[in-house]
Amino acid sequence: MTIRHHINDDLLLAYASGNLAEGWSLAVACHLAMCPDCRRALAVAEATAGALMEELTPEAGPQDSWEQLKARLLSEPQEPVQPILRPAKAVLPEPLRSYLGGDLDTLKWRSMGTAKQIVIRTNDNETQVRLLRIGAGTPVPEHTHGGRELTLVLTGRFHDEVDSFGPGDLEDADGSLTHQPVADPEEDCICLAITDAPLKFRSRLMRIIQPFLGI
Amino acid sequence: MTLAIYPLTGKCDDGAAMMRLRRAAPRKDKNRQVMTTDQNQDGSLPNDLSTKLVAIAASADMVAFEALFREFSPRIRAYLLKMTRDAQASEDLMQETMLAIWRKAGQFDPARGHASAWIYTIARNIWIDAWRRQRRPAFDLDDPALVADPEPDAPRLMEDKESRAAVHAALKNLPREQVELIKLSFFEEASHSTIAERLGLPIGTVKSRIRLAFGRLRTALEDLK
Repeated sequence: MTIRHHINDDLLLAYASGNLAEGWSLAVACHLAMCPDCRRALAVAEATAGALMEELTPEAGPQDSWEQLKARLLSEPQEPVQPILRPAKAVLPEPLRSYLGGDLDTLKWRSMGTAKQIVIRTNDNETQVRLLRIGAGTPVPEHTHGGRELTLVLTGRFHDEVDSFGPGDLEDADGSLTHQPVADPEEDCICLAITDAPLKFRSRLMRIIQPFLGI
Repeated sequence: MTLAIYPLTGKCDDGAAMMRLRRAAPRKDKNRQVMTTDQNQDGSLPNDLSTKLVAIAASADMVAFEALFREFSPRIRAYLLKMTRDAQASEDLMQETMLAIWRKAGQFDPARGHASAWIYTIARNIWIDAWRRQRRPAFDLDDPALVADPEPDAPRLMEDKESRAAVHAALKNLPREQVELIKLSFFEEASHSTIAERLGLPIGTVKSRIRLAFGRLRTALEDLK
């Protein structure tokens, strides 16, 4: 696999520092599963954070801090570590399979024009996460989003006027990019698409007309 | 205040620290040495973190654990205080972090990375979980769909002590304002735009300085493999 589109430093540092919301982090984690180079960069970021933590001025706590911890250690039962069951083979990487509840062959897709999709739930309220299956040779739907959009190709390829994205490639597009990506003709393209969550309006009228305004 | 602290989600756990942690067979360490002094009041860097972690994993060594606690927990607390700005929360989350270190010490492999980086990822994940109430999606090094490093026989990371020194040296070689920006990236719950606002700098400047600094760290440290 030759990955040409990697995680940029802004995203990587936001992920390493824990400041990236869960939805965006899912795309970053899946790219990391597919990209040894970016895993090395993450290791540098975390080694740096560890070194900076060593250099922090120590912060004194309560006098009995150790006694409290020791009491908990001795009184709380040790939960046995659950062994992680892994399949012998998999197409989609972790952590995506855990979020979906299974691998590619178990998924229930919902039709959306020429494409199919599955909505993935997270605990953040700033992103919308979807798995998309774009039919071979057909355009990527709903691609005129106003905000940020991360697209990670899992299988197949898509291309636009200027570039091409294959397995492991991460496209980081802001609202200024207007293009019309199309899945390559050989096979369906499956990708993970993260966008800013749709705006939520308080007014009932606005909620009703929102879909028609396309916002 | 009371903090609800949820158990960490099993496999979505330790970020890149995991990549260095092969689930190692139980180790026996014959040359185990445990420091019991309550040091570091002078601000010097803690030593032998990894020796202590190995001792804790090998024999549930409470003496080593207490030494680790006295030496390093004030820094974990300092990190968590920066992230939460709440003294009680930083104490609670520090305690959770130390409990997790006690339970997971067996996953730490000193040949594959820095003890402080491993401890950082544990504290960070506990903060994400308890404070931000979000999960932490992370890859699994033993996942069959993971794309393995094409150079599995590449030389291992330097000995912990040397590579730690290299990280500290690389940080020393950076201009001060770049180190400050890297620190802000890691130790504040702040976006680049918030940092830019606070420093009165254009966001483009903040981003490019952080990129420059991190690029230099990568050049200095990725070759250590």
